[in-house]
Amino acid sequence: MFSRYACKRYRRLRLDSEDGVLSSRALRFLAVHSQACGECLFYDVEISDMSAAIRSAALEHEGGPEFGAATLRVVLADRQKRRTPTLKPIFAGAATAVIAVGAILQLLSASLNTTASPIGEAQRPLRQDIPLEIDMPGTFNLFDTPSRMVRDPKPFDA
Amino acid sequence: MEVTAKVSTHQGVYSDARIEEAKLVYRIRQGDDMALRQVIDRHRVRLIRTACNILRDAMEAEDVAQEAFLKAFRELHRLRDDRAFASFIYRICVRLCVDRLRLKRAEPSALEPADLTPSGSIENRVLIEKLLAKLPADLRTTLVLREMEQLSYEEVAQVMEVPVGTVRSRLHTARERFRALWIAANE
Repeated sequence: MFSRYACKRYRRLRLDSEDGVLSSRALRFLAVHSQACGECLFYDVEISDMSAAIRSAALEHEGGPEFGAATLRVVLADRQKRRTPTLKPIFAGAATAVIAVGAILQLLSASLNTTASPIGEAQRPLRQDIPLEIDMPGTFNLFDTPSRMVRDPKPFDA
Repeated sequence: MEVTAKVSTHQGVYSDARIEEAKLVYRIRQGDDMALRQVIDRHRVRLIRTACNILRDAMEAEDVAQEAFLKAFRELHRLRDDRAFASFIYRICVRLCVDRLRLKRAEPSALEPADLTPSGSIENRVLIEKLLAKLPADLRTTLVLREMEQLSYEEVAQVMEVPVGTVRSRLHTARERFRALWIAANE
């Protein structure tokens, strides 16, 4: 009869033994314990069966015949998309700043070069008075140009 | 030759396959589309097979493999050693599989031993798939990589980016849980 600890140790080492990472002392322990402990021997068989079952369930799917071409198309399209020049935020910000500074400099230089000329007078075309052509007050059209009505409302009194 | 010179500057002895791989990756970096095709052909079988074993779904496995290629070529600038491209893309593929497994919900129904008793190869495969589906993503992936893909503990650790001790512990837990499910299914 083995202690619970010995069986637990056996089962842990048993799994590690598959990779060949155990020391010779651990391997000796495994050999002795498996010969003496029926439960652990049964455990061994179960684990071996289970591992074999898992391995036998491995799939060998290699993909369809179009997989390579389709993947290449996707990758190339992605590359093309990434090559398309797009302004990154930092470059866009820098470009905007350069344009703004240029505009300010242009305004400053224009105002410095301006020469004030006090001689002369402002020219402004005189307003031409257009008399309303209404024969009698009753024929006045309300939808006539309102500017005339506002400018010269006298015809109503005539 | 520039490519050869670049490869030979690295110290140590490497297999021809890895040197060949480094040359291909170098050509991809230079924008060679033919090299892209060659690399895809070189790795497709392994990636699809592994993804298929982890996900147990052929169509989804192809999706994941394609995504892995896309991601690997996008993130090629992160690869410091061109000779390590194989493990680089394999790691990406396994990570994508684990992510997909995590997104899937665990099957809510309990095991029905009468339906799951293995009596032949197809039934056995169905049983294994159902039992694997009961395991958490990390345990399932570790078990598949170890048992079906036959990777060593160190390789599993490298692929899953965890210490070897963690692999050992995960594998132990996965086997114990799988064994309990296996016994329940066979009773």
